[in-house]
Amino acid sequence: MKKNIHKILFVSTIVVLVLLLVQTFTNFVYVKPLAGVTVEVEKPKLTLPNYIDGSFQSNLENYCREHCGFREWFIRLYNQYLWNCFHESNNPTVMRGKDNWLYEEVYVRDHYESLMYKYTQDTAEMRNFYETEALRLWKVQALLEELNIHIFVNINPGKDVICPEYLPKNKLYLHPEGLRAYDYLIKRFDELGINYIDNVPIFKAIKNSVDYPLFYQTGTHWSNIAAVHVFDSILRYMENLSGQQLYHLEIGEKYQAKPRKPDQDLEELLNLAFPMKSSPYWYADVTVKEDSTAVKPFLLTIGDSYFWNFAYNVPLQDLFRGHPYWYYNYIVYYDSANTSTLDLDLEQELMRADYIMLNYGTTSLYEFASRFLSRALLYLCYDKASIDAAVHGLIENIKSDPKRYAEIKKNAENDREDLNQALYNIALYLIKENPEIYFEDLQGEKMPISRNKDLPSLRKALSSR
Amino acid sequence: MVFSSNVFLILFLPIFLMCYFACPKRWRNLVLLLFSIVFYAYGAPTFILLLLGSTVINFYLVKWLYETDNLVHKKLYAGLAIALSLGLLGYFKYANFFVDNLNVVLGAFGLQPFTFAKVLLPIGISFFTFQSITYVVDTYRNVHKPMERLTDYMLYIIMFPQLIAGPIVRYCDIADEIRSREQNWAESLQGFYRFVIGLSKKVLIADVIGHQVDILLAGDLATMGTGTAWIAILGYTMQLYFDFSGYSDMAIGLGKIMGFHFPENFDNPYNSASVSEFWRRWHITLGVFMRNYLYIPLGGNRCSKPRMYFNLWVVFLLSGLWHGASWSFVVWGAYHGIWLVLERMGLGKVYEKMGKVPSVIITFLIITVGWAIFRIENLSDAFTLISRLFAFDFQSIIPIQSPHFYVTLIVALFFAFLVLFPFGKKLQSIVFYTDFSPKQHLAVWLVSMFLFLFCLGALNAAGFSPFIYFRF
Repeated sequence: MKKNIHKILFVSTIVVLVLLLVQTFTNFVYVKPLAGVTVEVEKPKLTLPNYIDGSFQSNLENYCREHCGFREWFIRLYNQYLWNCFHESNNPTVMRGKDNWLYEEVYVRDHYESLMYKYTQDTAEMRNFYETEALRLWKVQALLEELNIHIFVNINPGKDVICPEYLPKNKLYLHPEGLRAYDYLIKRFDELGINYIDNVPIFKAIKNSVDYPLFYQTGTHWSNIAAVHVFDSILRYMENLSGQQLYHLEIGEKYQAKPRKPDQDLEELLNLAFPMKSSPYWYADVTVKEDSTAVKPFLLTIGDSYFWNFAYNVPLQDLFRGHPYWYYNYIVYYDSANTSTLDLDLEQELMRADYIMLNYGTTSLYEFASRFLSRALLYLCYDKASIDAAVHGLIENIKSDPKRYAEIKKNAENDREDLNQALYNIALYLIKENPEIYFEDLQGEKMPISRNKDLPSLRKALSSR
Repeated sequence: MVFSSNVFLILFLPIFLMCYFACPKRWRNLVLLLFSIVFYAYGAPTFILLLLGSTVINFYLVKWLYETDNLVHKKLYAGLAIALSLGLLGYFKYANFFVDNLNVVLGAFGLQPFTFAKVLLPIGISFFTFQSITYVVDTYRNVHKPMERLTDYMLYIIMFPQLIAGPIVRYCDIADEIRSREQNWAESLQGFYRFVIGLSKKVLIADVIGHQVDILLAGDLATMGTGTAWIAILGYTMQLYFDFSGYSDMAIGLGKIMGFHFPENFDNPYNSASVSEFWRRWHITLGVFMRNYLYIPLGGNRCSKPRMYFNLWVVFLLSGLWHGASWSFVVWGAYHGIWLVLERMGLGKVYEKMGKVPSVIITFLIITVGWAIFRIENLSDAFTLISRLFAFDFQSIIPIQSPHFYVTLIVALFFAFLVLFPFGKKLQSIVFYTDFSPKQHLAVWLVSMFLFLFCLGALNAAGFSPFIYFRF
């Protein structure tokens, strides 16, 4: 053995390398995947053109990087080294604050400057955006009230707002003068009489008096108990808006438990080899109180990820006839799962809702309403005939651009789709995506005076189901 | 393909090692040649035929050179072979630079610019051109007889460990090992250790520093604070050393795995007490090439002092130009040439009187300032950065908050200057030159394997990073 040590060790080196190679291409050992969003990289196919232009080589490198055998272990090991030795996170979206409190990078940035800088350096431009959205909401609220649909905003405090004492030091974010969406919108909501719940002052007030955490040390969002209490308040607010009697929540005794999804989502995103030590996770179970006189309305929620703690902890199905959630007005959850909101018939969706909640954390308010309001106004103010007229106008416009027209024609042939139908679908999609481009009345602070006359009957038909 | 890529580490290397060691000894050169061709063809598919073609022509020119007794014919064949190598280098590396400058001159006289399709640079051309030249000249000078087999010569030129970025291996240093070499498992194992040292230098030090240096130097140089400027240039100084010496370590290690002994390319260059000494310790194989194949033919030291100074300066001017076809490299070469001439004129004696440590510090500062010209392609930007180094503006915040960067920079500085001290010399001799006992081998192997896997983690966690030296 001693005599052959060199040979044994060198052959072992080759064996280790070969094992890596085999694992890369076969995954013969199960390895817990890394947390976070990854783009699946397909195994590249070798062709002469992609070899000559170098795309095969770069795709193969990407494939090997994403599938390198036991990569997950190595990356976790390296991340642990960065975390323990340098107190650094290898994930730029996760920042380490004092006492190992974790914050999503956008929260830190929003706290020290304002996320308007993500859009523009121009405060006036941002003020215009907030003003337009506030006015649109005022208009949408008024139009929906006529149809007995109640829209309201629920503003949730960000972790940075309630737990600023653990934030990492501000050294690089140098725009303290930025216009904050929260400050502007709250003021305008008051002035315009917009329905809203502001949970920020409530959370600030109770932070030191409650015996459960409002935010967890290693999570992005509020705690389970904080979320369910807020939802209970939302139900009461909804009752006040409509005069309907809704079901109420019964919140049980709090207890400690292992962290549940998504309460340590930031820690998971660090992809460390060993779990972090963190303060206890408190939970409370929630049930719906029996009530023979209560009704189950239909709630449509548009908003950010603060909704997940409602969805995971509150038995929404026992409270509502339907409760679709449009994540940033982009993807639909809890109804037609994973559909793009642009593929929905917005007219129908609006008319079947009894309540529409715009649910945003303070950090996400810089993109308040996620383009929902202009799209809602389109259907509230223009009937099918007006929208069809705009669609046909746009089709003519597309036809006048030979290159674009040829491309659509080619795609329709490939998809074996009728060309006229393809043109109609594309034009309608474009109008639904950005209605203000095609309807001048929806631009900026302008407000349309027309009404979609089809809505009352549609509302009647859908609300009675 | 670069050594710190996933494709190399988890695909090419294991397949190559399996094939190489599974083959009988007489087939190993052929396996190595085939894999070397694949290695080059993978990264530069459009240039592989050029490389193979020029290699075949060179082989026959040198074969005829060796076989003829006619001195005129010998000179003709040698001249043709060198002209072919330098011609290709000149065309692919300097044609764009020449035309761009010609057009500036034409423009100054109000003439139409010369239109010219941009030429792409074949990867590694600077290195394999110099190796071809050593083959021609060593044969011409009868230092060593040429290869009998074309495949052996091709292997000398194309061998993948040193093909892309050196070390520049002189023909006479490796010819015998290509023909015949013994398989020594202890050396193969040491080769693996050396490869891992190089990989760690590249991935754990150079890439970490380089990432932040790139961010700093992408900022506005004119308003850069002095502290930031020094951190950026010190960072680059360390990045370049650990990147390039790391690559050389990997090349030397890979060579050793197969029984080749490539020359050392670095010998703690930042411990040099003069710029002359620096060039005996930095990119040693380039220095040796320049000395043997340019400086000495120009007359070397055996001429008048003014001529010697001129020779020195020309050698460094051309060394600068070898690094890249741009004026900043020419100026960088000239900058080093000036310091070398000054040292010969008396500055060297001043250093001797000052003692080792002050001379090392002064030399390090000279070299570091020089890297500003080397790093920044635009000359006026380079001078802006140098002016910020001495602006004494310490008001602005240094825009790097990463402890990982600072600790890595300190570790890099520590290792860069380690052998200035006796314990450092001892440590170096243990790591590189000790015959380990079986137990020590087991410990070192475990550490090396851990480092290898750790580097894979760093590489995949931080993304793909090409070597700096590939653009030369």
